[in-house]
Amino acid sequence: MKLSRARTAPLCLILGALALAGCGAASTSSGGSPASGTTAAASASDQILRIPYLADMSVPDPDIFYDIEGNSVILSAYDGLVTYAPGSTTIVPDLATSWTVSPDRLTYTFHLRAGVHFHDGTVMTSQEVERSFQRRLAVNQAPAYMLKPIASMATPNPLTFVVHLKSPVNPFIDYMASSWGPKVIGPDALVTHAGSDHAQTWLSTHDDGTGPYELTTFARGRQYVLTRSPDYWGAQPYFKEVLIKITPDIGTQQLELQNGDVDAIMHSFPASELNSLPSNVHAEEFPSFLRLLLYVNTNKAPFNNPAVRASLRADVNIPQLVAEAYSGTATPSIGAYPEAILPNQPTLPYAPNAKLAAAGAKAASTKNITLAYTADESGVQRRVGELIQADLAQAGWNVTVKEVQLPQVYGYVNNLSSAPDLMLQTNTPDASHPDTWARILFDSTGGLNFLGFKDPTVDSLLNQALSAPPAKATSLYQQVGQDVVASNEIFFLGDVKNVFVLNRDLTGVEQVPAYPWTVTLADLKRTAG
Amino acid sequence: MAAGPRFPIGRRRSAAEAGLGAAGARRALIPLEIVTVVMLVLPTVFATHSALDITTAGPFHHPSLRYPFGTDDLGRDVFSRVLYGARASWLSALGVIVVGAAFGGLIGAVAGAFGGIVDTLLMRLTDLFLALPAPVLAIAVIASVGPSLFHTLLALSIVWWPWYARIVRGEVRALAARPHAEAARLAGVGRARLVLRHLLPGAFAPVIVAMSLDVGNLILALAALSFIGLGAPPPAAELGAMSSQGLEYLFGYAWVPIAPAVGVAVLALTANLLGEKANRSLDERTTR
Amino acid sequence: MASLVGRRLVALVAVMFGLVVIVFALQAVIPSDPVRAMVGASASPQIVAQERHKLGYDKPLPERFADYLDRLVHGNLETSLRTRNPVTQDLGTFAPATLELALSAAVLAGVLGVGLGLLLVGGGRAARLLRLVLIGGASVPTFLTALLAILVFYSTLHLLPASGRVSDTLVVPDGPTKLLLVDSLLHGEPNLFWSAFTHLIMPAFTLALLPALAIARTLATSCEQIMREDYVRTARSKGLRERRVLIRHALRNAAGPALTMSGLQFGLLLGGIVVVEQIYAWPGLGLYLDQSIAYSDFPAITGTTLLLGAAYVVVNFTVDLAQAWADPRIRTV
Repeated sequence: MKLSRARTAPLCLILGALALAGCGAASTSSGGSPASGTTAAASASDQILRIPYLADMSVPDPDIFYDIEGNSVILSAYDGLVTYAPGSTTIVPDLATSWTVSPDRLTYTFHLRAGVHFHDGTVMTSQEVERSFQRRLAVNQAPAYMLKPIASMATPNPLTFVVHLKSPVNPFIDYMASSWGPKVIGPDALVTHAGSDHAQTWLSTHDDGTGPYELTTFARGRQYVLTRSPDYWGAQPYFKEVLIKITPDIGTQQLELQNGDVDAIMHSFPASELNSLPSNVHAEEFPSFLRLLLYVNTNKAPFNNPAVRASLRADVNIPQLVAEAYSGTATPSIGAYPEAILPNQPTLPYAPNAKLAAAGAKAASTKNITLAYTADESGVQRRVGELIQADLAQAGWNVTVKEVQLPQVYGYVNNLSSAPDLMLQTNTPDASHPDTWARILFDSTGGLNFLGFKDPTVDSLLNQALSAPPAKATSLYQQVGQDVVASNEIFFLGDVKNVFVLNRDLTGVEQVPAYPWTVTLADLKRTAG
Repeated sequence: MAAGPRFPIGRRRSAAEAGLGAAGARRALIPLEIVTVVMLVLPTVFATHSALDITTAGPFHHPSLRYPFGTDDLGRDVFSRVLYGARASWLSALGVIVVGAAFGGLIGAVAGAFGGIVDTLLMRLTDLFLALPAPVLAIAVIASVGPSLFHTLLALSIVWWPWYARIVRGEVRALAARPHAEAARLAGVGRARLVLRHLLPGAFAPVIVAMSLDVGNLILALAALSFIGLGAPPPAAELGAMSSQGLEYLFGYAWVPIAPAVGVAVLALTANLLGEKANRSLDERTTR
Repeated sequence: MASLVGRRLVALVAVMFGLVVIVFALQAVIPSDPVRAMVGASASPQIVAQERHKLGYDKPLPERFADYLDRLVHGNLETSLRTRNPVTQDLGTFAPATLELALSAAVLAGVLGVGLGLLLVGGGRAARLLRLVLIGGASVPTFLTALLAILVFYSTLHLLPASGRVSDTLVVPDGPTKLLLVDSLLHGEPNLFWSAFTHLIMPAFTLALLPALAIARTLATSCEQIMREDYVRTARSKGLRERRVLIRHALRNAAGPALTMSGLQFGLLLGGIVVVEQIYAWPGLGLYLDQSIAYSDFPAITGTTLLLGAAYVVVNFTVDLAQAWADPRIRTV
């Protein structure tokens, strides 16, 4: 998943989820004492939560939606079979209370929760689960890949759902927990309003999930309304209504937060202003899997020369760069993968060295290079781009920085010799599994492999890893990571945090590192008094 | 986005009728030239840093004697950047106008000199472009080809020429009917030479006035395009881009976006006053 | 008059066709891959190819243009790559907000323009000072005006709301006009009307400012010219008061150029909606266009451009006719 103005997306893969238990990311929080409230009993307007979006979500249809902005709508309206525990990479029950995996890792048996109601009032059974999975495959949009490995499905009884895979797929259970993973959709949508397009029309303005909130208004460009569902199977949320308002200017959002007209800003808050927040708001920071990458174009001079490209390791003081550009809301990357999804990675071999850097620039066949970045509201990639430009200029490079739109970036692979020499991009895996990171970035056909990284060894290692026994797979992913780092074709600069800026009386912030920009709305509370 | 049809449409005699020639054009050009020279020199004389230098003061240094407008998010001197930015904005605006005037002038001169079917065809084409909403079209062009300073200037030039074609064509037609053109024709002067030597110079004055009136609009148009992310990419010190990229600091470090925005306003004001002056002096000569 | 209307209609169609050609040519030259962006990074090459084929992006250009024209005359603007809705449906969702804003701003620009223009006429130190102030006003970038307005009227004075079209807890009626000021009155909901009205003030003023100043200057210039004409001198010599002369004689005759200018300024106003709608979170076409640009959503970009272009052409067409009606000399031109 890529972070950009157009927030189009990405994806990921698995490793035995259980193997990962215990490496959950710790969450930290800064600021914010519980509110010094004023009101006594929660009045009606107290139970309305107002949050802004910077842009419309594409569609609230879980089998099409593949962006970041909009996650909170999907995850509030729908449930999947499993999910991640708060602040962690551990897979926990959602609509499935338990599940078993056969020894050959081909058969997954999910035992479903009883007494779950869809927003249309019907009770969920395995039949709806199967119908939802079939629908995702039939709609066949970006997130459909997660179900492609399925050979067959079965519903032996109303509360048991069985999936048979064609071959073992390590990240499969993480797919089920992904925010873009399959969600269970009710019969009102998939039968009554199916139409001729698998209910795509109806679901573009309605929902029929089992989540804590029902999408009751979807007024594009204006506001979305989530209303507390009366027969939600879990704990009843505090807020009766969530109003999501499209406010495309972050400055307007800031003023409205300050004036109490919105309750929280979930992303793109200017980091430089976090330490001068008005007294009625507080910020909370959590680790996410969003990572800042520098892609190198090796298909043309000067970076087709491995020695020249290696000198890039010496150009930039990365800790300083990350500290300055993100004002403390990011940390230098530790390895090729987010640390929480692949432990024990060797330290990245990047160290500033003026002499080596200058020698690299000197050896280059041309000193004129282009550094592209995708536009984002917070301007952080621009800032990084300009800082790197200054560092490279010091080494003797002549760098042109340019801003590009995401669809242009997707076009680069078709004509790599006219693509930029360097490119900055912030990406996140689709789930907490190393495969969901490696496959999109490092595989020669990966969807986020924008500048044509190609290494047959990496491709074959990744193929082996997909079905290898979990322990073996882990070492294969590590091998892949080291190959990529050694190639100097992708540089891993920083791990970006989720920063939520909230009204001071809002508490109960829970989030999952694999779900960027997203607070679990059902857990939020207003604490008065 | 502030682009679009721009100059007051009054009833005035053509400059040619008023007997304004190359001399009038030269006079009208002087203020524009002076400001351009000032803009060229300004940064080299007054800037204390280069536009890209990261100073030792660090980011967000408050305005002080040493850094009159403070430093920006990367620690660059805002004062120096505003000076360089003013130069870049001014030259960009002038560039678009010169390209527009040259292309529009060519179309207008050809139409005016040939008359007949050529005139009709070219003027219908001009009308077509005039009838399109220039600002919307400029946005569409840049959105399609991708933002860069070059594309932005190109897109603006595409929508900026038709007025000049109209003006030049009008002046050339008016002049062609005058006795001195008639005399030249009788003396056997060729058509090309007639246009270049005798007719075109007469159109200079109103074109230059139109250009002066346009600079301010262009500066605002560039700033607006930058604001919606379709202008000059960083680190170019272009005022609109500096201001829109600095907007996120409006509440914490207001000088970062405000200094260049005020720069835009001052620059546009200078241009508008110049244009107004040029327009008035032409008005006085043509309406009495 | 009939032949004038006929000729203008032909011109209208020609201009619209020109617009379609330009807009289509733009899509053809872009180097990006919107289909890839749409289906997402993990989609297999087969899905991308299949989607590209479905959307017709794999056909040769002339064929695509023919398809495009064919669909266009049938009122089909293709499907947005982002919202997955027919673009016509999206335009239907977003256009009423822009219509309400643009109409209000146009009326405001006209009223302000005429008012300020009259104040400018007559010379004197006050008028000259005012002229200077207006030129100053015309030099402020729109985004700065918008932000300063929010800072003052929302953040500091708490007088006006900063964003949106209406307070977020009010229920918005669905029709009949989709213009909230009108619908709220039709449904007899004063609260809704008041909310819509207060939300409209800042965006409409910001949008109206530059066109109003241009109209004022044009009006003043042509009034001054007319005040020097013989018949005005006659009127004056008959002892009519200056203000009366101005309003009875000069203004009427100066209205032509000012009206033309107003029509042309409508284009400026349309260009301004992108900036204004973004800052005030106004859910209209400018917002739709801005979101579509980030996605390289070409059907949406072209659809919006065509709609705004058509609005502009039609407005100027109407201005032409109004002038011809007011001034018989034009009919023969």
